[in-house]
This record gives sequence, C-alpha cells and structure tokens, in this order.
Amino acid sequence: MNRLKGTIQKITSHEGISLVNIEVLNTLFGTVVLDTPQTCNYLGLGKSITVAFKETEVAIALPNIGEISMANQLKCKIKSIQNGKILAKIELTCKGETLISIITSNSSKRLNLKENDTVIALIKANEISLIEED
Amino acid sequence: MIEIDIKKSFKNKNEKIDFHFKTTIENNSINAIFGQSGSGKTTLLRLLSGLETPDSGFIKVDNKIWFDSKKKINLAPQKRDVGFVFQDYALFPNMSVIQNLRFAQPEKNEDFLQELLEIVELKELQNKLPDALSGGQKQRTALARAVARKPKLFLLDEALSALDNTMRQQLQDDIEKIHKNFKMTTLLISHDIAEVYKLASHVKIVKNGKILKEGLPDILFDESKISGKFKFSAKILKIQKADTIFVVTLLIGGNLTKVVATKEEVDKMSIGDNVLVASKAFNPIIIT
Repeated sequence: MNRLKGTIQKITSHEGISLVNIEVLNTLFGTVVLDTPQTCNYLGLGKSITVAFKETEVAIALPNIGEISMANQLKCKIKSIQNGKILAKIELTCKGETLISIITSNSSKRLNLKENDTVIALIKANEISLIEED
Repeated sequence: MIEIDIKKSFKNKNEKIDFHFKTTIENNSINAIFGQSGSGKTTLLRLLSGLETPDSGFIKVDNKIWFDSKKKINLAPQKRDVGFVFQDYALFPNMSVIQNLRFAQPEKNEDFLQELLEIVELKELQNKLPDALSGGQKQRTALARAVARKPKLFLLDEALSALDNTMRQQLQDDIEKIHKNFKMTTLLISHDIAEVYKLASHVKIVKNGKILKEGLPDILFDESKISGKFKFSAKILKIQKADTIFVVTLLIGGNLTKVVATKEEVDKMSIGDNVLVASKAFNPIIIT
C-alpha cells in the first residue's frame, strides 16, 4: 500500500458521500468516501491525514498527456523498474517520497519506461483510502 | 449484573487524568475492553479487582457492594471474588502446576481442579514445576489458577499478547472452553480485533479514562482508522510469490480469499497473523 501524508483542505458532502480534497506533496488530491464530518471525526478541515492506495491502482502516463478524468496526478521520477513476465513493479519518487506502481510488463515496454524517466502517476479518486494519524 | 460508577484522578507528571467509568456488565458474558494504551483499560480492571481504590462512586455485584464511597465500604481484593490474569504469569516457581492451583483455592475442591486441568490440557503436566513448562503452558496454568477459586469475575489484562500466534489461538480456545463450562463473567483487555470478535459478545471502547462507546463487537468497525467500508478481520494462511508481486491467502469468516501484496508488505506478515483487510466500498461487485 502506498501511503502519503497530507492535510485536508476542503470537504464537500451530499447525502452521506463526501469529496475530500487533501494537499499531498504540494498537489491537491481528491478522494470520495462514504462518510461525512458528522459520521467520522477525522474528517475535518486542516486535519493531518494519510492517504493510502494500492500499488495496482497507480497508472503511469508519459508527461504532456491530454485531458483525463483522473485528477490525482503526481509528477514522479522512476527510481527502479522490476520487469516480470506479466507484471512490472515500478518504484517512483516524488519530492522525496517513494511510491510504487504495478502495471503490466507489456505497458511498461509500450511506454518504453526507463530509470530516471519523468512520468505522471495517476490515481482514481475512488481508490484512495484515508487513514487517521495517531 | 455488575454495576459500576467510579471516579479516580491520577497525577501523571504535570498532567491530571480523570477516570470516570460508568457501565453495567451482564452476568455470564464475555466483554472486551478496547482502547489505545494509556486510555485507562488496566486502571478499570485494577479498580474492579480492588488493587486500586476509586476516589468516589460504587461497584455493585448482584446487590453485593464491593465498593461504596458514601457507605465507606471497600472490600479487600481477596474478598472480591475476582480471578486476574496478567501478561506476566507470575506463578509460584517452587510449586508444581497443581500446587499453584490448590494455593488459589480458598476451599479445597480437587475434583474441580482436575476438571479444570482437563479443559486446559495440563493434566499430564500437573506435577511439573513452572520452569519445566513452555510459555503457553505457563499461561494456561495462570488461566487455570485464576479460575480455580470459581471467581464471580474473571479479568484478563492482555493475557495472551506475549504469546506467538499458534499459542495465542490455543489459549483463546481455552478461554472459550472455560467460559462454556463455568460461565464466569469475563472482562478481557485485548488489542487484537480478531481476538475480540472471536471471544467477546460485548465490547466497551475506552478513551481518556471514560467509556466512549459500548455494544456488540460491530461497534469496532467505526473505530478502525481506515476510511474503507469493505473491512474484515482475517487470518493469513499462505503467502506465495507470483511474478513481481505476492498473493496472500486469507481466511475471512470461514471463506478463503486472496489479496495481492508487494514484497515490502509481505516482509511484515507471518502465517497465522490476524490482520484487517480493507478496501473502498467502490471496488467490490455484487452478484445477484
């Protein structure tokens, strides 16, 4: 699981669902949760929170992509690539933090990914979990 | 029924902590006390057992008063009919298993002790000294010793947390068997959600010296710190490498499931571990 620390900037709730905007590595992340500030005490403006998402939910794009619905985008550098027969494990760094993306080896080859390349990591808003900090 | 309404203040360095426990405990039930360290779980057990004296309030056990500040009643720990098991078993090293148990019995009842030894599978080892026992066997002796007096209230303070997973599960089975046979009202402190689900019928969540919430074990769902709504406690059965990732086989409520994980994650897992599996409510598909 990838974990990044962030601060809650905005919460929009409607009928039990909330869109939570979190500042993570100077980027504004959005996540959708089935909670509201009324049902969950760590949903509060300015609160520190950890955003968590699975490695297999991180897509990779080359820079200068066109418009895309996935709003959670981090500009990263490829630290290492471990190519398997089917899956490729790609270690990324962004502002000193490490995250991992697991994509198919075919895609890794198709994009011709190499160490030190700059890429965009994309995470869908409904794939991000929030973890309260101790 | 046990009725509690007690207050106690402690000075911890510069900080003053006010404990106020107000709750009831059904007879013959197993209750889990859940909460972070420093929340007051152990203090609650110590106040109940008489090892600590409340500043004010009362403890009433089936109309018998154990403590009442107004009536100036304060039964000594040995008069309270409590069996207490700690993480550290504290057996008498110079006494055999059976002698440790006999010592804890106010009135001799050898038949009951033999029945108890049978339940916790220590019958063959009853003449051994504690030093000759494994950690799990020592803790089972401590369990049996606490039960030897047929206490009204059975208190377990993190009693299993020093044991490895296999041992821990055996001891959980022993606690279940003891409860099934003798029906003592039980209060156990545990950090392990799977353990709480397995043993307890009722959960009390303690925070800052107060009971924050109580009810069926399901209330723990609200307490775990991850926002996912697809959450289960699971047991790790198998960890297998598959290509550049790993596949972890889990037992969730009698069903086998598989979840993929990275090497960094499986390095922190062991077979038999109880874990929380979580996903967002958006991922699972429902097939009707």
